[in-house]
Order: sequence, then structure tokens, then C-alpha cells
Amino acid sequence: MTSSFWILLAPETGLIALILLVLGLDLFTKLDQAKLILFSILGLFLLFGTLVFVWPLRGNALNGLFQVHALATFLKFIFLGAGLLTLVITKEFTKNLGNRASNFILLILLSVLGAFFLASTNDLISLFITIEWMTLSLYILTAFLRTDAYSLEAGTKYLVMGAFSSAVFLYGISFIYGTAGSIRFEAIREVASSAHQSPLFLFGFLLILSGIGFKIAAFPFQLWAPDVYQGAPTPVTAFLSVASKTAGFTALVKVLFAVIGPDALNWSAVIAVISGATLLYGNLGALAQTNMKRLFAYSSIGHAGYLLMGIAAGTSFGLQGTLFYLAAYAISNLTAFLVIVIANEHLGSGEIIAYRGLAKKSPFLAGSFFIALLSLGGIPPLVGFFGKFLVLQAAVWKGYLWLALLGAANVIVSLYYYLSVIKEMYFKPPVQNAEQIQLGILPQFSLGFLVASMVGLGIFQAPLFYFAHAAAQTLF
Amino acid sequence: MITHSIVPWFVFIPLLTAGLILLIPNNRSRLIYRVSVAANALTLFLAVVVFLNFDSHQSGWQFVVHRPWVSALGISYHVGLDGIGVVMVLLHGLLSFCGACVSRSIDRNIKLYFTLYSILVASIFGVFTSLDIFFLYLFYEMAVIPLYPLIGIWGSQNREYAAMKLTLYISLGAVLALVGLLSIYLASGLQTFDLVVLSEQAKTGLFSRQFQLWCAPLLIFGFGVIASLWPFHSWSPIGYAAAPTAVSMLHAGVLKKLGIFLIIRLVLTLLPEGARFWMPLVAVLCIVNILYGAWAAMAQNDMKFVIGFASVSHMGYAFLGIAALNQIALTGTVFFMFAHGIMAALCFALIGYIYDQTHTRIIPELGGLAKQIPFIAVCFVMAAFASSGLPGFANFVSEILIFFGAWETYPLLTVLAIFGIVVTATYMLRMVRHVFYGAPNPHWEKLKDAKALMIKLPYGLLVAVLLVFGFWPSFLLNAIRPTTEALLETHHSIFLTQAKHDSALSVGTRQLSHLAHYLYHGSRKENA
Repeated sequence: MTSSFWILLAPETGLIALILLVLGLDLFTKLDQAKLILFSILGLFLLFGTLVFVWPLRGNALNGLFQVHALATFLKFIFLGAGLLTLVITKEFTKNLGNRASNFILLILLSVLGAFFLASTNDLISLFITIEWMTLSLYILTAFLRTDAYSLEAGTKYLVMGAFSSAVFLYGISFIYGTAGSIRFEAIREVASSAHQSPLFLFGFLLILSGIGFKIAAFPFQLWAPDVYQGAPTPVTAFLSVASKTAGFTALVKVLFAVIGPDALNWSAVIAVISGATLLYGNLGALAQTNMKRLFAYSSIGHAGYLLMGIAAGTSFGLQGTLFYLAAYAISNLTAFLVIVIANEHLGSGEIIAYRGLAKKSPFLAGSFFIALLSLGGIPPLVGFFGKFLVLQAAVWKGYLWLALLGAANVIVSLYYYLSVIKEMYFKPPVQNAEQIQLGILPQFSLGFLVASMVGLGIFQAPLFYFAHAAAQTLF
Repeated sequence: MITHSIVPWFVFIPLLTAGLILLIPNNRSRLIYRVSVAANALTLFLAVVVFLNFDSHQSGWQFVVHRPWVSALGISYHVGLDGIGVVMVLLHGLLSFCGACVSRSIDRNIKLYFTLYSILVASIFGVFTSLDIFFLYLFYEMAVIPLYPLIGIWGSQNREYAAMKLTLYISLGAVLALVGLLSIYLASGLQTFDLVVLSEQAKTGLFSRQFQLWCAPLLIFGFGVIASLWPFHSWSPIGYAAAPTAVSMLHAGVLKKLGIFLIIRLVLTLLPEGARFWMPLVAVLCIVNILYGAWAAMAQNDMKFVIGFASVSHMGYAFLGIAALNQIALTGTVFFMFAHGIMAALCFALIGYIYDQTHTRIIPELGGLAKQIPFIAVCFVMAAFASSGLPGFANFVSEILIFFGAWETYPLLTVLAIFGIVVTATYMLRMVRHVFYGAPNPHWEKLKDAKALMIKLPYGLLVAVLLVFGFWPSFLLNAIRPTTEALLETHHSIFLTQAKHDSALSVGTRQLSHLAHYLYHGSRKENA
């Protein structure tokens, strides 16, 4: 409790310093854009050190507004990892950004900073502000390719839908504040756990849930996701599907477990139904896709269904499962996007059919994609399997056998479209040019590391499992 | 003792081989082949060592290694073998070695092939040796996935469709079973995935009857898919026809047995009452397996399809053996898994040899091959005899045991099952006649027989094993018997406390047999 302000905020301070540094370097030196990206990657990598440093710390700053605990640190690891890998992905995408790459990475860094504060926030208003802070950068990033009609369409769609959902979210907060008389989590929780709540309180809760449902692309608020994911620049899609989704789940977890409490209001069944519907929508929708990014848009909706499954259990174990799943999903999905961005550059197309014979053009790239897809599909001994194992177990434990069976059946549906991609890469000969794809040092190293962590964490689950355990315990 | 911590190596050696192969450059294909054969010879050697050192006078777990893994969740790394496991490990050791030997005909992307093959071998060993439900499931699911690229890349006709269908069917069964396994974990309330602890507790009535009744079908039918229980069998002949030789061998030989093995290990041990309730239904379905599979095999033109449907048909005997729920039949089932595994793999290996030379598997296009390839022809005739359950082969012993055991529980169904043997003999001998005898096709005059010792080895080894265990079945039976005896003790205690035919389904089967009686007598009256 006695840790001082600066120590608790070391990761945030470090990130702000990095942002200022990158801004300064961009303004006052003639540093190459590629070098600037490398510099930011190095900076973010060093920031892992500060996270490791605050890992054992617990404490409050800013009058309790800013909290440091295992959950916040766990989420910050995911955000930082997502930011770092998005920059690695951006590095492969630089050609399309022209001389505006520095703006691009600054916006990503700002978004990560917002996410950092989101992880530590402890009242509804700052929750709203930090999540908007994060999303604001994403609105710009989505429409970043000014000459690409898809990108502009995606940006507009995302902005309109996002703004609408933010308004709903904020409107919900106003009802909660009006009935509970506070925006602090602890104070609202007392009201929520009392026997009778005012209907306005429930209405506010419902509005907040809807607002968050949009952020995580859960059914029935998921319609924006495929268009936006497809149209956005690939690094942004990667960031949206991992960091933005994690941010949405951060908000959801905070609202459900810290604000309302696991036992109040019987929200568990509602989340279970949403989880089932999201699973079905995402996975069935993905079956018909021919564009790789669009496929991943649907599959990431499907994954939101699994993430919700752990939350629906409403237990510490379920939350732990969701957190483990989040980390596993982040690693696997970012691996997949790193492959996608490299492949799209070389193949000149984002259609799945263009991936034909990728195994011949680059066995390493195809192999990494293979492992990432299997991990997303939940095949042992990869990390994604253990995530699914935990959330299914949580659902069975809670007594939602139907949800567990639905989740199990959806594993097969998702396996079908993941295997179809593998089929294109391995079973079919290349369409036209069969020349080898040469990979740079950075993507080679990153892919190697990511594949190693998918296999490693899949076999030795204990470290991540106990970290998620500690994180889940903070809310119980 | 050297054998003290031998069991984990069954998984480590193939996995290390996979890693090693990845390090060898792509153009050194002979080296990759040799490394793989050597590694599989090593695991076969270990399997023989374990089998010879197995103490067949006791029923408990032997060669146990136990390490904590994720203790908060009750997951531990726990491996060991009982009489069933040791037989299956021997079977898998034999087949994975022979499979590696016959993989010399793989001509492209050898590195990837043997990497995936090694992972497949490792995961199957993992299932047979794991005593922790988590690892059991992990290895099971891990065994399914390498099949997809193995069939899809190196397969023959219709490979993409076959690979996808096979993977999805088996995975669907697996995830259904997973829900059942998770339910067992939670219903036990012991916070452990340890199979040894759970089965000890299950004897004392840990799981309520009601729980067992709904949980058992998840496991029986979930794992039944991979053992091609009718009506979940349709992936199997297509899958075999498309798969490369070694994969067909392992799949028909060992992977299918995983389903039976897991039903014995999980359902019969943990959910005895659930098993007793559902087994009559399984018995009826498996008769459909036997007869339908045999009839479908009669109608096939393609040699691999004949053997594919034959193996669907034969798995019916294994199901009949476990459905009988008595010691003779269960011992017979374990023996049958071994004998059928060797026989089926031998058939696929020989068909693979013929296909590599002639590039056809269509029976009418072949003929008189016995002249050109006498060694292969002799082996195939042996395999056909074994398949038809001729005395002298291991298959005969096992089938007799199953029929004797099943006769006690389901006399009528047993008669139908025995009829399947007749059909088997018909299609196997017909295939032998058309392929190896009859008018020689001038097309095939230049075929080369297996001459070199290394080429003959896999086929000869499998034939020898069939004969050895056919004449001295007690080698295997002594190892199996104590385990099956101990396993069914639980069932006997339940037999004693309950009325003999209480479940709705056994009533259903009885009515079915009444119906059959009625039809039989009725038709006689009409004749008169």
C-alpha cells in the first residue's frame, strides 16, 4: 500500500515517455520511418521490464482511482504484447503507409496507453473515458488508408456504430449514478447487492451491457465487425481483434464482477445465452467466407463466445478460464495476423484462395500459420486447447451443460474453416508464381518466439494458469 | 531396475525424433527415413522389454511414473501400464515400426511426412500409457490432427474430402467425450483427473446412478466414433482408401482401437452402471456393424475399400465383446484388438505394396499376381485366413473368446455375429482369387517381388506375430486376464445387488429377440 505514485505508474510513465520520444524524433530529426518503428518496438519491449517490476506490487494511486493488482498487470501484459506485435506487423506493412507511418505508430502507442489506464481504473467515468480514449485512436487508424474505399467505409462504419454504443454506455452510467449516487465501483456494488434495486438501475445496467457488447462484438451487437475488420489496414485489424477485444472484456469483467458482483441480479444466465448465440453466429458465419481477414472477423466473434462462456459461469474459476483464454487467443491470433500481413504483401491478395501452395513458397510461414490456426481451433498440445478446456469446464461446473455441448460442437465448426485454410496452403499447388518468400530477421524471430510460446504454454500450462488464477482472485 | 521409468520414453522418443527430423535438411531424404525407422525400432524394442518384464500375476498398474503438473486443478503427469495397456503398447510398437518401414515409397516432402508421423506415433503411445484423464484426452485429440495433413498431402483419390470428413467426425466424438470427462471430474468432487484415484473411488459408488446414465453415452458414442460404431462409421472406409499406406495401417490397426480401449478404461471402470444400461444398445448397433460392414465389403471393387469395410465389420466384434460385460468376452476383446490390429495393418501394407507397383487397387484390373509377387501373395493369403478367423491365427482365438463370452449375455446376437464370419471368408477369399490367381494379366508381368530383407521385414514380422500368438495365445492372455478380472469385479458386485434385467434397454433387446423368434416361426408356418 505504501508504494509511491511513480512506482505504481511506472509502466504508464514509461509509455508516455516513449510516446513523447517518438513524437520528438519524428518532428525534429529526419529519422527513417522504418527505424522509427524499430525504435518503438524496442521501447515497448523494454516496457515489459517495468511490468515485471510492478507485477508483485499492489496499491492505489490518485485517491483510489488507479489501482494496481494482479488483474491489472495481467491485462497490461496482454495490451503491451498486442501493441508490440502490432508494431511488428506494421513493420511489414510500412510500404502502404507512405510517409505517415510515424502517425500510425503514435496512434497505436496512444491506444495502448489508454488500455493501460483502463486496466487499472476503478470508477465508471474513468472506465468510460479510458475505453473511449483507446477507441478514438482506432477510429482514425481504421480509416488510415485514405485512398482505399474499403478502409474509409470501415472507418465510417466503425465511427458511427462506436459513437452510438458509447452514447448508450454513457446513458447507462447516468442511470446507475442517478440511482446509486456514486460512480465508484465499491459504492455501486452495495446498491447492486441489496435485495431490491430500482428498475432504473437495472435499465442502466442493461444499457452498459449493450455498450460493452458492441466493443467485444458479442451477439446481437456484432454486425459491424466483419466490414470493419476487412476494410481496416491489416495491423489495425490485428490490434482490433486482440487489444480492443481485451479492452471490451476488461470493461465487462469490471462491470460484472467489481460493480455488480458475481451473485447479484442473476446476470449469469443472460451472459450464457449471449455466449451461445455469439458462438453460433461467429462460427457459422465464418463458414461461408472467402476473404482471410473477414474469416478472422467471424472467427474472432466466435472466440468472444468462448470468452463469454467463462464469464457466464460467474465464478473465480470461470474468470480465470476467460483470462487464460484471452492470453492464449492474443498469442495465437497475433501470430496469424503476422503471417497474414506478410502473405498479403507477397501474394497481392487477401483472398483465402491466394494462399494456395503457401507451404511451397515458405514452409516456415505456412508452418507458423498451421500452428496458430490449430491453437485457435483448440487442438492440444497448443495453448488454445487449454483455454477452451478451462472455459468448458467452468460452464459444466456452473451447470450449463447445454452451453458446454454447444461450445464443444462449435469447436468442430471452427475446425472446419481453419482446416480449410490449411488445405489451401498444403494440399494445393501454388496458383501462379511459386518463388520463395524471403522473411526478414524480425518476423522470423517473432514467429519463432510465438510458435514456441504456443507450444510451450500449451504443454507447461502452470505458469500462465497460476498468473490467471492470481488475477481472477483479485475480484473475489 | 532399468524398466523403472521406461514408460515416458514411449512418448519422448517419437517426439524427439520429430524434433530431430526437423533439423535435418530437406534433401537428405534417406537419412530422414533411416532416423525414423531407427527410432521406431527403438520404441518397438522398449515395448518388447516392457512386455517381457510385465508381471502378469498382478492386476495393478506397473511401471508407474507420477509427477505433479497443475496441482491446483488436480492434473498430474501419471503414466503406467496394466494388462490391457501393455498389450496395446506392444501392438502400437509393432505397427509404428512396420509403418515407418513401408513409408519408403513416400516421394515428396519427406521431412514433413515423418515429422507428422512421429507426432502421431507419440500421441497414440500417450493415450495408451496415460493414467490422468487430462493427458489421456490431450494425447487423444493430438493423435487426430496429424491425420489431416497426412491424408490430405500424401493421400490418393478423394483425399481432401476424406481427410476433412475423418478429422471432423473423430474430433466431434472427442469433444463430446470431453464434456463427459469434465462432468466426471466435477461429479466426483475429488478435484482430480487422476484415473487411478477415480477408479478406486468409483468402486465404492462415487457416481450416482442417474449421473452415470446420462454421462456414459457421451463417452461410449464419443469414443465409439473413432472405433467406427454404426452409424458413425462412414468416415472410415473413405479415410482408409485415401490415406497413405502407413497411415491406413496405424489407423485401422491402432487408432480405431483407441475408441474401444478408452471405453474399457473409462466407461467400464468409472461408470459401471451407465455401461450396464447402455451396452445392450451397443450390442444391437454392433451387429449392424458386423453385418452391414460385411455386406458393404462384398460389394466393393477397390481393395482398400474392401479392407476398410471389413474393418468396420470387425470392430463390431470388439464392441460385442465389451457389451457382453463378462470376463471371457472382455479378455477376448483385448486380444481381438491386438490380433485385428496386426491383421488389418498387414492387409493395408500389402495393398500398399501392390498399389506402388501397379498404381491400381481395382480388383478386376488385377489378376494372377501370385506368379510375379509370390512373397506378397503368400502374406496376403495368410492375412485373409487370419481375417476369416481360421484356427492357427491369433484372430481365431480372440473371436472364439468373444463369441463364448457374448453367448452368455446375447445368444441371438451372437448367432448373427458368427454369421458375419462366413461373409468375411467369402469376400476375403474372393479378393484373393481375383487378385492373385485366375488368368494372369499381361500388364503386370514386370512386377517386382519383395526381395531384400528390409523390404520383406515388415510383412514377415506381422505374419509371424499372427501365427505366434495364434499358437501360443497364453503369452498375451496371461497378461490380460488379471486386469479384466479386476475390472469386472466392480460389475459383479453391482450384478449381485440389482435385479438382473432392470434396464429398459435390456428389456428392449429381449423384445427384439422375441420379435426375431416370432418372425422365424411365422415364416416357417408360411412355408408349411
